[in-house]
Amino acid sequence: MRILLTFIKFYFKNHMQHIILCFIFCILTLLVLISINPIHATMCLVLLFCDAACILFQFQFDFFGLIFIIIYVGAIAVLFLFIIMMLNIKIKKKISNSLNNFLFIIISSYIFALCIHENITAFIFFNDINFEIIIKSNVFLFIDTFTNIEVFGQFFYNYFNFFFLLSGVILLVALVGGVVLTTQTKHSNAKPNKEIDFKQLSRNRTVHTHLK
Amino acid sequence: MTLFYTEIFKITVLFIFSIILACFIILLSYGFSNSNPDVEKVSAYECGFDPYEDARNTFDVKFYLIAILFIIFDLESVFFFPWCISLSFLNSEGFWCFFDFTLELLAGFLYAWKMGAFNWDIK
Repeated sequence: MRILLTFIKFYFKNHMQHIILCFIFCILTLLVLISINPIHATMCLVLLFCDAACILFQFQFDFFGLIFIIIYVGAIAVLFLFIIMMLNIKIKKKISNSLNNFLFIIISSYIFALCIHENITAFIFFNDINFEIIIKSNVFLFIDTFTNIEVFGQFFYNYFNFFFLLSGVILLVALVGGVVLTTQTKHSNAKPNKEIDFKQLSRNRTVHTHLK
Repeated sequence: MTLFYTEIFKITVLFIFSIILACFIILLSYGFSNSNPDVEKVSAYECGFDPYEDARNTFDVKFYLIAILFIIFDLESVFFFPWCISLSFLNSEGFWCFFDFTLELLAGFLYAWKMGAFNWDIK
């Protein structure tokens, strides 16, 4: 027990910013799961991605943090917003089985915490005991280092190029699938719904007469 | 502590300053404006009726297709940066696999073009 307390104290002392970021992360995750309005949930998800990028920055993964913001916030959150707009979900006043959902949230987060526990302890021992000593004794780490993006490029394209080509194939499949699905719906409807298109593209009713 | 933090520090200062400034301006606008909220004033206005529809309406799946195409070519451009920077450290396999990747996505792009995914055809 005492060892655990000292351990926690040590952890809190040296990783305050990490703990604050993770705490914000947990709160935002709960907000995403609990919030009734789907748009609020998506906005919380955007904040969640920003917080994840901050955690990556804190681990000095600057390239991956920026990529997180570009791809997840810039593209995937937009896709989620589009889905919400397209499905036209009405806001529910009351969630059924709220207790059941809450229990599910608790159990899944507990399993997740168990999964990352090993990683966190490994991080502590690596970062504070070995890494600090190396940094203090070795001047080369300050001077002669590769940047994040260089290391990623060398490892990824030299050793993992099979997975890179596989990702290219997956992207191609996604592109072809998206194109096929959307253009098929266009062919099945012989007459395009001009009214809906007009409603989306203009706010002013005078434009309509001008177009006709 | 390390070189990373000294480089990032200036950005962090600007970031925190912008957050503080935004909060300050919002607080000022709350403090100095007259607000007298009412149920009728806050509710959505629809010609005297109660609003019977959502403010957001459904739209065409074409917008979604554009977003998906954006994601795919966004990812491609993301893969460009590390390859360009570490070009001199790559072996021939690593050098040429990017050409294959680009050709695959180019084929996809031409396919999407031919199927008319970029046409809007609203006349």
